Amino acid sequence: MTEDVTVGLIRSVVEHLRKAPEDWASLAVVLDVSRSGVRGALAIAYDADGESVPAAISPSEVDPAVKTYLDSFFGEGDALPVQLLVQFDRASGRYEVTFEDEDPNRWRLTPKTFDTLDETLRPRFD
Amino acid sequence: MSIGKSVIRPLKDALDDMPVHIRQLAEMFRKHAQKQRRNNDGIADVDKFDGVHTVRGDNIKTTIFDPKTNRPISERGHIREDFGSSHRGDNATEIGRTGRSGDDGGHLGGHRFFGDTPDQGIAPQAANLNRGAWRKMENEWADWVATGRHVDYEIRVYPPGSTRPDKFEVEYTVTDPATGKQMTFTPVFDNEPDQVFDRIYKKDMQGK
Repeated sequence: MTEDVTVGLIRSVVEHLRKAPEDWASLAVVLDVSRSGVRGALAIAYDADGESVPAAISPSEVDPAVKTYLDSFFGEGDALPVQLLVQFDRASGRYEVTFEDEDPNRWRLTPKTFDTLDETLRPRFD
Repeated sequence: MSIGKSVIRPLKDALDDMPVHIRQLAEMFRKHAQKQRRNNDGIADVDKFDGVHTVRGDNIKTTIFDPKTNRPISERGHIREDFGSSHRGDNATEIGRTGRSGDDGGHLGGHRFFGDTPDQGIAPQAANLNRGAWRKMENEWADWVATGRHVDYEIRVYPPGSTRPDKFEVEYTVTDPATGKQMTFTPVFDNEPDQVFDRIYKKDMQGK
C-alpha cells in the first residue's frame, strides 16, 4: 500500500515536471502541504553531469497524488507535515520522501540558500 | 515554404538570444501562434482572449484577459526594479467593489512594481489576502530585486476571466544575472482570508 502510493506520488511529480530538459537525470521537489492541499512547490532537476537546471511543478497538478499519499499515512485528526521533500533518480529508479513536521522554512528558497539549495536537495541514496 | 518556417521560426530563434523578458514575449507569441487556425479568409484566433501590456522602467508585464468579462485570465511579468509606494490613480477600489463585501482591488503584478494598472490587471481579492500573504510575496519580490536578482512571474487566475477569482496560482522564477542561475517557486493562494506566505525577510537574505 505504502509503496504503491509513493510510486503514485513519484509518477505524478515526474509526469508534471515542466521547464526541465528532456534528459534530466534526477530531481528534487519540495512541496508545502496543508489540509487544504499543496500550497507551494519548488522543483530542481539535475542533468547527467550533475548540474542543476531549472524546473517547475504546478501544485494543483500534483495535488491529488499528494493527498492520496498523505491520506495513507495520516488520519483526519493527525497533524500533517508542513513540507515534503521528494527525491528521485531516473537511472536507478531509486526514490525517497522526507517529511518536515515543524519548520516550513527548512527547504526554502532564499538569497541565503540560492547558491547552495540545489546541493542541499540533491538526491543521494548511498 | 510556409510563413512559419520562413518568417516566424527565424524570428523566434533570434529572440531566443535576447534577455529573458524578451524571450517571454517570444514564447507568448509562439504559444498564441499555435492556437490559430487557417481558413479561406485568412487566420482566425482559436483563443478567445486579448492582452494588455504595462511597462514601468525595466519592468514589463502582459495581462491576458477575457474580452467578454474584461477580467484577467493570467499575467506574466518581468521585474527588475522596485519603485516602492506611489500615488494610486487607477480603478483598484472600484474593481474591489465588484467582488465580495470588503474585498480589495488587488494588483496582480504589484502597484509598487508597475504603478497604476489597467483594469484587466486588477482583481477583487479578500482584503486579508491582499494585505497579508499576497503583500508578503510582493515584499519578498522587492527584496529579491534589492539583492540584484530578477523576478519573472506568471499568475494564473481561477476560474479564468471570472469577476471574482477563487484562486491564484503564482509561478515565479528568480534569476541571478551574474551567473544565470535560476530557481522557480510556485505558491497557491485561495481568494480567502488567512492565506499564508512565509516571507523571507531581507535581513535574512545574505550573500549580496
